[in-house]
Amino acid sequence: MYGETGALLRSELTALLRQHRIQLALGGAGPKTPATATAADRAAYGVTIRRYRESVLAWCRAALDAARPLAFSNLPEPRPTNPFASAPHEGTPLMELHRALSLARRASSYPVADLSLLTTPHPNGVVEHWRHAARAAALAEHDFSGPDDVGRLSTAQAQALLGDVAAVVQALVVLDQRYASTPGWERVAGSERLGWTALACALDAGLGQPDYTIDQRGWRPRTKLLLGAPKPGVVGVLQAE
Amino acid sequence: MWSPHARTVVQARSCLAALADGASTPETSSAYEQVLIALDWIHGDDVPALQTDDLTYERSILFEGAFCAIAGLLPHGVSELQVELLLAMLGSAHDREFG
Repeated sequence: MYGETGALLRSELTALLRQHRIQLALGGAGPKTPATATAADRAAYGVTIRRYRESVLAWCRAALDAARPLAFSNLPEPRPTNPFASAPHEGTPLMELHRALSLARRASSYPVADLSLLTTPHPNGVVEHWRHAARAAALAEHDFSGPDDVGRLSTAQAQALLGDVAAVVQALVVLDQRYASTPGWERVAGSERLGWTALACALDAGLGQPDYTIDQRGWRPRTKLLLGAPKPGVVGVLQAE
Repeated sequence: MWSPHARTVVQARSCLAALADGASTPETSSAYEQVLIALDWIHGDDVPALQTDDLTYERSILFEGAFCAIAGLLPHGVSELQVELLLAMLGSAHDREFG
């Protein structure tokens, strides 16, 4: 469900935002502590983190694509919006954020994290938080990937999704700035613009009444029959049903 | 909004507004205003007015006041990610001002 994957993504990003002195956390030398990782090791950590970051950016883009047909801007317009026009969102904060995200994804020289990267635990705590965030993003992608799911969101739910995407993008921009001194680090293309458009998008979405029942939407495992002998307690009641 | 929450928001808003008002460059002022906008966005229409009567002109004290007030929003139902984002934006504005 979106509520679970979204909460996981937000909690991991919160944990990452709480970490300052990133080079020290990645194993660099501190004022009183010796280095536990070489510059080459930290550069390798940086490459891994960038691939995890691409996964999160890919989720942002996918979520924005899902919300785009339904999230109409709350800003007053000089003329009424025509929902049947081919590009009713042109010039809105949503479109600007979409454009900035597309630019960031196109300009990146790294692919999204593959299955082995997502499933292999990392000894470094910072990279491990990024791995969990990327896992959550990968899991969350199929919450909105099906064609039917788009139709199932309401406009108010799409506004809530837009607010979440904006918060995640803002967190990525802050972290990108904080990790800039990592050896070989590649900044997100147009990060300043990305940050401002995310804030504008959040403000736009906040003008409406976001519907947080979106947490109940998305993929969930199929229900299975409870086979075998009758079970005691509450499980038995569920089995009878 | 309960009274302790309102007091915390008032302190954060007042300190941020004073920091933005007294900034030496438009870029720094804009950075503090960005934090203020994000704080107002979180609270929607329930934003209390500024209280600038007893505020100091000492910028380090204003910064401390804004930082403590934003960190103090956690028990009042503001999500942890939002608080961390606000603190990061405030830190960025501080770095822009003091280098």
